[in-house]
Amino acid sequence: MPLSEEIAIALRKCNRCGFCQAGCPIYKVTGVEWETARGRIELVRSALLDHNLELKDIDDPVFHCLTCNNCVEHCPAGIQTADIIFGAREEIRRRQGNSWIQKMLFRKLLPNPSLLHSASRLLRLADVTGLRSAARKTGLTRLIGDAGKAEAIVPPAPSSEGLAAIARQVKKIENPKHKVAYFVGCHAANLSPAVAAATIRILHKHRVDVVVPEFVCCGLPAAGYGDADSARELARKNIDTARALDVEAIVTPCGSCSSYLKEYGKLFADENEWPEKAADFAGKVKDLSEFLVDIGLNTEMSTVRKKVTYHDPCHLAHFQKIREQPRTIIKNIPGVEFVEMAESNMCCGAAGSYAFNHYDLSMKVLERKMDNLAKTSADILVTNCPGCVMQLAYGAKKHGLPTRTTELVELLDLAYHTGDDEP
Amino acid sequence: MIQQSFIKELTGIVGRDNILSSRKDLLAYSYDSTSRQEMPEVIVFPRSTAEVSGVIKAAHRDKVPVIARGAGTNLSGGTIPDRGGIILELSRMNRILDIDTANHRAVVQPGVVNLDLQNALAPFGFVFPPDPASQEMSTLGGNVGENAGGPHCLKHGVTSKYVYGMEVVLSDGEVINVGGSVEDNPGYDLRGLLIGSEGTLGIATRLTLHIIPKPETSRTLLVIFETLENASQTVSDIIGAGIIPGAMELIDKTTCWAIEQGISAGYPTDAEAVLLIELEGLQDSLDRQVRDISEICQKNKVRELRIAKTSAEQAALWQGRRGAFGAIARICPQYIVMDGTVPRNKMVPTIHRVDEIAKKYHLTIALVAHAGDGNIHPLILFDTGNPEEIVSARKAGDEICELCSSMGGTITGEHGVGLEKLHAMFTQFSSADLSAMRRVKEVFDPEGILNPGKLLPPEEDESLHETKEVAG
Repeated sequence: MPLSEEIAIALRKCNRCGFCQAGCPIYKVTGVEWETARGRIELVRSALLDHNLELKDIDDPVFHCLTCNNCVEHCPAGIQTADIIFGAREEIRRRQGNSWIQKMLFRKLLPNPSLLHSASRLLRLADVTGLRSAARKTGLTRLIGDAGKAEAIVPPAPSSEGLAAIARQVKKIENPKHKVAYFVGCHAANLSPAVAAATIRILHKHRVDVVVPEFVCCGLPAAGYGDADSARELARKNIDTARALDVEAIVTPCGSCSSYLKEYGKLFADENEWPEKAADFAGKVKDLSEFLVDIGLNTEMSTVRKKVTYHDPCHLAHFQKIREQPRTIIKNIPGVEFVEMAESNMCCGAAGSYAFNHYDLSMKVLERKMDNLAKTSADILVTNCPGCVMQLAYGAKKHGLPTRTTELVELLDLAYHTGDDEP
Repeated sequence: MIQQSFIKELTGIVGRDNILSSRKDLLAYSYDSTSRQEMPEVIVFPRSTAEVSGVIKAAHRDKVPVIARGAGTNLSGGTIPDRGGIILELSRMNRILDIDTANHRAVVQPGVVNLDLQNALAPFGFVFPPDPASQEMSTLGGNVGENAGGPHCLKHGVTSKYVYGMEVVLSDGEVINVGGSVEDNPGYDLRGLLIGSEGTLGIATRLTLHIIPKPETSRTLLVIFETLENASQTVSDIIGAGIIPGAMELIDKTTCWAIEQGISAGYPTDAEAVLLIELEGLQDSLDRQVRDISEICQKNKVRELRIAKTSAEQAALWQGRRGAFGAIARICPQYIVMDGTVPRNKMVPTIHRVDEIAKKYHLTIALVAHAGDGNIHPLILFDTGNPEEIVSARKAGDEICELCSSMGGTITGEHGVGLEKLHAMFTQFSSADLSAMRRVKEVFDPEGILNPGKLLPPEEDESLHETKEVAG
């Protein structure tokens, strides 16, 4: 599918006012014009519409974008940068083809939760056998460039038994007030089962009946890479899975998943019944924080005497405009002293697998975030996106900050159960 | 055409990480916030005065054009490299060197973004008064180069009032200091000459700025009128009564409507004009000012006068005003922002004539005026997909420039001349006026390498225009 009409129109809409500079984390650390939306749009338009620039020339402008959409908040014309960048990536991949490793990941592993789980076990195996630390010591990780440098961002893999084990934690709720499907997401299913367990406990605390269907990856990683076909294939699977369920909402505590699931309506332009089915699905999706505030947050909590700050994941703040709900939840926890962090809605540089492809840029963006974090002197940094959690925890360690990084659900779970004790 | 060896020489000066010259790089530095576009030949990012000087020396020797650039957000075509050459990008000279509240001074490098300075000053309770709409991204070097204004320049004045001194690299690479760190300095006021010279006389590499304490309190008034005349008369009467608000903006019906489409800021959509007035100062003085203004408004048949009761209401009104261009952009992304400025008592006839110009060319022209200054700020909307309309929009822009000049005002109140208003200079100045300016340019830049072709219209084009009569 060539560049869509919608994206072509968006590319022509930019009047080069440059307001996007104010919101662009990459421009702020590089000062290079094509590292901001105005420049990226100019070059994409030149290459794909006006044909006065070669395709290879837009590789960096298109792939250096974090697709955080902070620029959109500053754009007078409301141009959706991430849509343009995803469209351009798709076009580049269409003409250049996908690498085998990407095909393997997006077309074999992501559509199949048990295969993906087996793959994630390899990481665990590498950790327990000492293979990973051996690779670091021998310099093997350095041989693979940015991905090698970024390898330390991924924490040791916990033992996990995948979706089935998570589903077993669901309890029968007497007189449930609501019924939802929990979209676990690849990260919680494979690398952070504690987050999944906490999510289920929190939903139960609100007398919500939970089902854990066998959803596959939301598709965002594939779309971000430019493999829109794979993203659509994953979306179709999820939409079909959801149709068999009788639930009022599909909830997830992962900001990236909820954001992309809500965009399913945009994925299918003219494929028979799919646009309608996708819009139905998207209409049911709620971020967990949004859902809890909507149904009325249960405020029977224990005290957590900590200074807490919050980092807005881009996919919540800029894509879903969800800013208040996570703060409302945090501020409702007794004992918490909430402190706002400067530029809290500025990307941390995680941006999916960005750090693995552009380690140095990602670290510069992270450094700015850590400067802002240090000024809060918070005990706990809360966020609700697994990518952000990994990146921020890595940043705090790298910059020697004592602040502990945690998922919103983990903090809330703590408040519902033990309170001040360390989880 | 610059040679590969020249690029190599520049690389030696600024280092490999601070120079760009691939096709995509050149394309990204070929535009600013106007609709113009021309290709440069190389972009350098100096990080020190010495590096700027080194680059200028090489350019001077080989007679290569040098265009100083900050954020590239000017509205005049001022950073368009229409003769090729070097883009001297100052965004990496972005350090705040000193904040000295005791002496009301801040020392900065030219690449510091205006808002970054404001944010750094906020904890001290200080502000840097010039607040152009682009303050979130435009650089202080650019603000000085264009002598930028903004809503709050009504009370406080434009950028030129807030520069004590500068370190400047001249066209042969020599580094000089102009002005100083106090209000008045002996000798010629070269500081005054260089501010607003749009990069044609020298490159500022360090700025000593005047900062002021934030006013104790402020009050925001929204005043709604049935006619433009009444709104405009109110502006004149308020100033005439000796009241100088911090800001006094006039917003027309089209713009109010556009603002309310995007956000609910509280503007009426059926009134011909509204005034957004911000009073600032000591708590006690503001009540009296509000009373006086209220009386003046009554006299001018005001429909309604609202005083923002909470800081949230105040913020919403200003958010609406600051987002006005943006709101217009949602309706029509392409527009030319004019900044013709006329004496306050000529605003009404000028606005009527602008209306006639809009009708003549079948264009929509919206107004978001810094009314207190007489800066009528018309936005000419056009469709880039329609070549005829682009031509019409440019013609309408030229006519508005001529109009403002003939009303005893100026073709540009704050955006600068650049390329956009080059020929309008002939309507503003006599040939003797322009000739004096050309002689200044020759003294500072005999080789004509600093932003050539900007600000001063070519002498040979003079015969094409009816120049202003020599002042008698």
